[in-house]
Amino acid sequence: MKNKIILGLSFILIILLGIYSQHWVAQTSTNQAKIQNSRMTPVIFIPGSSATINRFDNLLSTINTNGPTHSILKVQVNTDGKLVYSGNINANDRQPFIVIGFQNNEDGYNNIKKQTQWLTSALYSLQERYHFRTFAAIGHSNGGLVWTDYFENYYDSDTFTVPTLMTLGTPFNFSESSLQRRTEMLKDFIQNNKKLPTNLSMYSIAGTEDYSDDGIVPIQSVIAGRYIYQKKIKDYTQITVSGDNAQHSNLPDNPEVVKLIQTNVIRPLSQSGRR
Amino acid sequence: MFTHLINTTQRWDEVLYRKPTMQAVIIAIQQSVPILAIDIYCRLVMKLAISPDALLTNLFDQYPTFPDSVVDISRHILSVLDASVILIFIAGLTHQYLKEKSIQNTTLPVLTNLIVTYLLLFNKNQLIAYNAVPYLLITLIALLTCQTYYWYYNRNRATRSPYALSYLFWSLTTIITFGKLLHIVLQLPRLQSISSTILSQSFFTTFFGLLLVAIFSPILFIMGLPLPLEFTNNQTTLNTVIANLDTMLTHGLTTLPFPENLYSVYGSFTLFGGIGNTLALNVLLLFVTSKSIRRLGLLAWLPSLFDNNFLLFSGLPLFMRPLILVPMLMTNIISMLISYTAIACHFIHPSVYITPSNLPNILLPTLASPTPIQSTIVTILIFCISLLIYRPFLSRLMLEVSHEK
Repeated sequence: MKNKIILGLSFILIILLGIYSQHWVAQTSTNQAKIQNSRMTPVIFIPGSSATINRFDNLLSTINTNGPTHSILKVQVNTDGKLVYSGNINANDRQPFIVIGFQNNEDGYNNIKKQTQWLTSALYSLQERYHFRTFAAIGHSNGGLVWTDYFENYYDSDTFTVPTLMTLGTPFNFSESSLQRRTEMLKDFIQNNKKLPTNLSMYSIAGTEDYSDDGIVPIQSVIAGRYIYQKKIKDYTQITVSGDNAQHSNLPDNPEVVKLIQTNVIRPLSQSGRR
Repeated sequence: MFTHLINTTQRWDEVLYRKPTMQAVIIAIQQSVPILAIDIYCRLVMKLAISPDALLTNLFDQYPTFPDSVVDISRHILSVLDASVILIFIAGLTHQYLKEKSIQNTTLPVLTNLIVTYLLLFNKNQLIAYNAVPYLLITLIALLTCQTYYWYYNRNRATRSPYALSYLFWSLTTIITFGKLLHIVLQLPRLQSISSTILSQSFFTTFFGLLLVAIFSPILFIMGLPLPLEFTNNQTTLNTVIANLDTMLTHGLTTLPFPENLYSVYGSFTLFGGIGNTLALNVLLLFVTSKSIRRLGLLAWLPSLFDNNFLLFSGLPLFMRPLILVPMLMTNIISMLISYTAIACHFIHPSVYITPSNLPNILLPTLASPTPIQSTIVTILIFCISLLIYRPFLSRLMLEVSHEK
């Protein structure tokens, strides 16, 4: 008798689990289908330390003036992990621009690690909201460090596909001007570079004001990126820009940089979205 | 014909299980059941409620997430329990085997075998990632070391102290040979990753490939050999399964690239309660006449429902048991044939969707297939056939148990 009661209770348990799981399977499959079939391929920007989500305003308006208009969404991740959205993505826009900034935008390796965790949760929230799978990544200054930390420690190729990363004046060795003196962060990045996605194309843009730095970041620190990326990913390209607006803070507004973004990030990404 | 098969199997079973060595193994494995029960119930709580991908976490949005510290402590407790199960088995086996050989003081060989097993299976104080204890390997090593000790003991009978220098030398040599060198030579986790690579091949989406898996999984399980992760629950990471899901999500109900694969055939229809549809065996155990076996059936029921049959493995025991291996092989082959035919004839659409982690496998065909009603019918049919196959073999097993009384 006791055994029959156990079997009966187990049967009820299985039915209940089945009902709840059916809901989970339906929800997950619908979500996966939307992501799978999504043709949205945003470009996601991360500003450097001390900068806000408005850091790329000039760059984005220049790109929108010169070509088709992309809608702009700005997301600020607060220290408690809460996301504050401003702007919106048009329903028909397949290639929106998304800027992700952090309330705590201080400099330093520990903070970069924190910002990467906030970035990861923001990306998942954005995917759940807009159902995209493929995106291109651009990071100015420390924004490039956050992307690097993300690709090495948080990126999951089953969830996202990122064909291109472009970093602008990113100090991979912080303010060290000699490659002989490697910071803890650079050592960590080099140590973990086996985890970088092998299908990634990476463009590292350096600015020069006086042949040695861009006013803030030593060029050797930007070039140190090659020790992390070269031969670990699909392509690694190092580009140096000079002339007007080659100073560190002005790099995103440099006309050469705008052209590089259009040619190497936006155009190939729109082609991959059409495929 | 069927009766002849049962009779022959029973004969093999009796011959094998009457051997003194095997008796020592049975006593040792059954001695580890109480600690194993604690281990398995803790594991069940972990996978249902505590771990980050726990079933309740998946099913209920409001379910609280446990802090990392709690999860880490729980994992640590589980690894200590895992170790205790194995070490109690080894201690028991060494003691029983040497007692049979009339050696009274077994402290040194027991200690030696415990150290050997620890060094062999553990890395950085953690049990190397297995989904089953490699019982055959540790049993063979323990028996081999016992045999060498017995030989050495006979040669050194004059030495009274069990901790004399000559015995300590034996102990050290054994620890270095089996614990250290074999650990390096075997590289068990690497073997598992090789098997995962092999199982990703498209051969395992063909009839013969799936038949091979259906035959090999119970053999490996009953023989106590390490199992590839994909033989228990990890099929959704296989490329063929991902390709099916991608096609389904992109094009809807259409022709899938690999309709018959490890997930849709083997994973969906031969793992009810664990390898060999042992949930059916557990149902039968609830109604046997032997009180102790019925109690085991009750104890093992809840873990079995969530596809963990290791309490049956140690309690009945199933280890190296022809009377269970034969029906398990039959169940697996027939389940595979039925599900393969049902998919090939388009009676059911294969399982493609991903289900929540740690869900009972008996729900998998219904939830993961786009044709839930037909898949449920096939599930019930396979479950009933499994009951019918296990029943006569279990009756014979009960006869042996009553003789043992």
